Amino acid sequence: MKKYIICILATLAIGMGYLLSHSEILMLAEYTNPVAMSPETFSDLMQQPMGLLSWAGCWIVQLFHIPALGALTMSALWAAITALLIKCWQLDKYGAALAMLPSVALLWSIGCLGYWMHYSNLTGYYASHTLAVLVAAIMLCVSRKSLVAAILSPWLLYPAMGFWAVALGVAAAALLAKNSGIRALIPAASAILSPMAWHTLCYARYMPLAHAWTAGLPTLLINDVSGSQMLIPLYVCAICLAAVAFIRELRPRPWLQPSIAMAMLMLALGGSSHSSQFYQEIRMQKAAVEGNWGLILESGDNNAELTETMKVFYEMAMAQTQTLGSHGFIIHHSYADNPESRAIKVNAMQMAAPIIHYYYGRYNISTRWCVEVGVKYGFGTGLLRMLAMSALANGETAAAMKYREIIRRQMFFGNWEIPSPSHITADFHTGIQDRLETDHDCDEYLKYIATLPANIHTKTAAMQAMYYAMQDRNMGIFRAMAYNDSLMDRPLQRHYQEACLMMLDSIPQGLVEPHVEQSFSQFKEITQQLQATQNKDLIKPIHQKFGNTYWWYAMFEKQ
Amino acid sequence: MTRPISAILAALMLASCGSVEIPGQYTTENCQPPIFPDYGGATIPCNISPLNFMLSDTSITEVSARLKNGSGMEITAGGKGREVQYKPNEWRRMLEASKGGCLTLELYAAGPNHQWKRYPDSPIYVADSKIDPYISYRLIEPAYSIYEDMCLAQRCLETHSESVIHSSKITYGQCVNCHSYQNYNPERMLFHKRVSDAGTVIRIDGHESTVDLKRPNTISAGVYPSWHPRQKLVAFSTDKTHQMFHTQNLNKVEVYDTESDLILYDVDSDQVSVITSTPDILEVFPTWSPCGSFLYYCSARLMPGTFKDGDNIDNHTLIKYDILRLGFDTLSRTFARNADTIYSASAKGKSATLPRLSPDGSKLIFAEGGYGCFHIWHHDSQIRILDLKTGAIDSLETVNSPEYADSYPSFSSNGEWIMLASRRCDGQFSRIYISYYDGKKAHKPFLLPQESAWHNVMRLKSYNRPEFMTGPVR
Repeated sequence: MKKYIICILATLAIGMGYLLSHSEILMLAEYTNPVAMSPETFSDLMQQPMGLLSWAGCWIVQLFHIPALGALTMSALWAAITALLIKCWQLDKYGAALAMLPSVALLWSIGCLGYWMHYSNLTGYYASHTLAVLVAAIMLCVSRKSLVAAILSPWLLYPAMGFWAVALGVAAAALLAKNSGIRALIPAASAILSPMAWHTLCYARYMPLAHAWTAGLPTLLINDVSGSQMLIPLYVCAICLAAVAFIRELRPRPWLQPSIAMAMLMLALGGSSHSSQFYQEIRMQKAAVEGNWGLILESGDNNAELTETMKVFYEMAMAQTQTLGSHGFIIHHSYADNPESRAIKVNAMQMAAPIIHYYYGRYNISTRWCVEVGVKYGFGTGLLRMLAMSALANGETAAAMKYREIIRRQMFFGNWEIPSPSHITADFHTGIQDRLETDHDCDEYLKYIATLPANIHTKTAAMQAMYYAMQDRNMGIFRAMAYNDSLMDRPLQRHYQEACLMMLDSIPQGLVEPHVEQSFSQFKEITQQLQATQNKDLIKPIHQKFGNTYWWYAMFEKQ
Repeated sequence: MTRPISAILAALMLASCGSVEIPGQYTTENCQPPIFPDYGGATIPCNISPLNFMLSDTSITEVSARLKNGSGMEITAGGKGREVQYKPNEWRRMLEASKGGCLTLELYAAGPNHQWKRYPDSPIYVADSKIDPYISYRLIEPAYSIYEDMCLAQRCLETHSESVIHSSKITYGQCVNCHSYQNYNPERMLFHKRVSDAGTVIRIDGHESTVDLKRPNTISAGVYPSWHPRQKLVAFSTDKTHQMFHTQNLNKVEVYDTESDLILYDVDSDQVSVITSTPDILEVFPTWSPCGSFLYYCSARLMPGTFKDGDNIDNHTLIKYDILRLGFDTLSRTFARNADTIYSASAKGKSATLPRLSPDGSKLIFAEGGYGCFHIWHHDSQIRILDLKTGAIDSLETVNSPEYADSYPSFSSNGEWIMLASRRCDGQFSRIYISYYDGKKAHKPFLLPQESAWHNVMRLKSYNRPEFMTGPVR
């Protein structure tokens, strides 16, 4: 085995390298993976094929809480698969590279998902297919020496492995083709027939017959957009399990086999690349649940392009740290289109909605979002934490304790305590009057923001409304806030002062400081000069002196 | 598939329990034991599954329980951890020997320091009466508009066994609801499938058919069902149902009808006839009297100003239902012209829904709240019993929870047990509670027992529309 150590170590290194450099994927997997560590969820999972491995996969996904541990676990499993397949296919030192193909495909199956991770029920997915291929690799080793094992494996393992039992039968047939002749078709026949038999025996109530051969593969469907292309890596993995046996028989040139592996790796890594904003959103989402506003502000400050979701998290962080008025217009972002989420016709805000509604004091709506998302995609630790926080904030203590108990039974959450809402969040909540909303209202978060002035009873809400009015240059809303004496600090934060000078005809006493007025006079003078001369060379010095003000935003950015 | 595995796990668990020692030395606690579910003081059927429970004090690491009856018989349970799980055979023998009597629960607990304490003893009364051996319910998350994985399930009350009658997993995007039985008979049942592969599934004596109850003269397909007790007739409501969501109010959801009528479906001829269809009056929740000569239902008059902007409700508290009764001639299969008001909840500023008759026809049990028809979301919803002979209302104070919604009440086939859905466990997820009714008063209800008390914590689904059955659906 020593001569094969390079391939085994290479698998380990590739897995660790990819997962650690994209640890956000592990974070998101752990955040969204449905909590399954109870007899009840075990029973639910066992209603369908591959339920056992899905449950085991859920257990492993808990390890992703510590990214290094999760990466090491997955990479070790992939390396073990490589090692087993080298032995099974009796590959030489060049051919050993082919044994890496299934592991690379499994890495690809995780990396390729992108936004589908937010919007799919992937119970145990991130580890269950790896476990299934590991079992398949072990059984191939056994099947190489035993036709009986090859024939029985699809029958015996179908409940645990589903689709992979079918793949195993076909791979075993390919493995035995040379030595067993026509008898090698029997494992393939087992692979075809066993799903039908098991469906009749056990699964007819839970699954249509047409799904029996692909049981265990996730259904990726959002609205009317199918994500079946995301399953290509898993099909490639299954094909490799059979195909390598044939490739081996063709005795390819030594250089060809590592080349195939390299090509597969390039394909996998290429298919697993996503925009930097995708990863930033995940970090921000996790930070928001944990109330880590510093991380969100830093992320927002360091990214010139923000997606809609990033923008909302960034602004929410400023609201929570009461820096909307001091920080909100210092850094000017452009807003990134998000073709990945647009392609699946999902409003990227939906990912953030439970969190946003909570931090803006709309606990009922946050709870509703959490439950709806959980029903659709499963209740992961992220959603359960938001449910616990919303319930506690809403005074629903018993419900909060129930969610807390469920979370505490997950690894690494044994001592988790529900954080109380911040005084900012509580302040937002105080200002909200009860009204009945339709389904449609709940989805339109931005409409809610636009209607905030109807709910303004506190300074916190007033500052939020003024900030959005400043963004949209909505003088009507801004004036309504600024002239409400009871809601204004004296003096206001810097950006609010700047906006007062631009938007108010007469400024109430004490809102604006003299040095800001002076600065505004200078700004007016130079911009009037610009207007008069149309000398574009003036823009740079204006930006240098006033680029971090609301005036610059209103006059140059907003246009 | 799950049953053999659960049985193996249960057997392993029980085997690992061994015999439980009752501590000889302990300190005495004055406060009531913090047990969940709280079975102390409840009256239970003589054929119910073991009332396993746990101590909710997380500092406890060992527990020991002894259950004794009046004639000296005793069983023990407990061990490491906080759970108490009785051996099913021992439990059954104990109940058999204790019919009509009282069990005493002695409870001991210890922390990491192994210092035992004994709580005050709790009585558990064993009725001489059996309960129907099966119930069924829909398992569904307490969501609002999304559904994905729901099922109709049945549970044997004599064991902890639960199995699936119909799962929506079989067809993507399907909703299943409103299961209903003729006279508690599992051989005659129906349920609706919505959205995908839609229709009403009717199973009669081994034969199954799927029908579309929407007809040109009805506002929708049939919704809330009620089988005639003797004939192959089913009364349904037809409804245009909407919902809106509170931004602050903890009632969270308002589900309401803008229109609703009653229809009668003849199973043999597949004919639908309209029972009532009155403009500006909402008629819903039909239920037959045991003799089949009366149809009870709920009715609310729509007041001006209830809706705005089309179907968006403006003043949801204006909708208040009363309970009416319409005579039915079983021979000619015709209804009387006029209905009688049996209970005027609206006159008291309340709304009554989900009426059900006792098997002897003398009592009417229903849910009552401040307004509206979907009381499981209303914290003030409680169940009541109306004595149809005297008109007296039993407010069932021992049964109702003061803070959370109690709804969907029904009587067992012998009329001695009341079942209801309640959110009292945690305010979010409805659970099933059962109360003994001796004809005069209802006794302290108990939570549907589970093999592990953790089940009630870990399950993230509600038990919806619980129904008694005299046997399992096959």
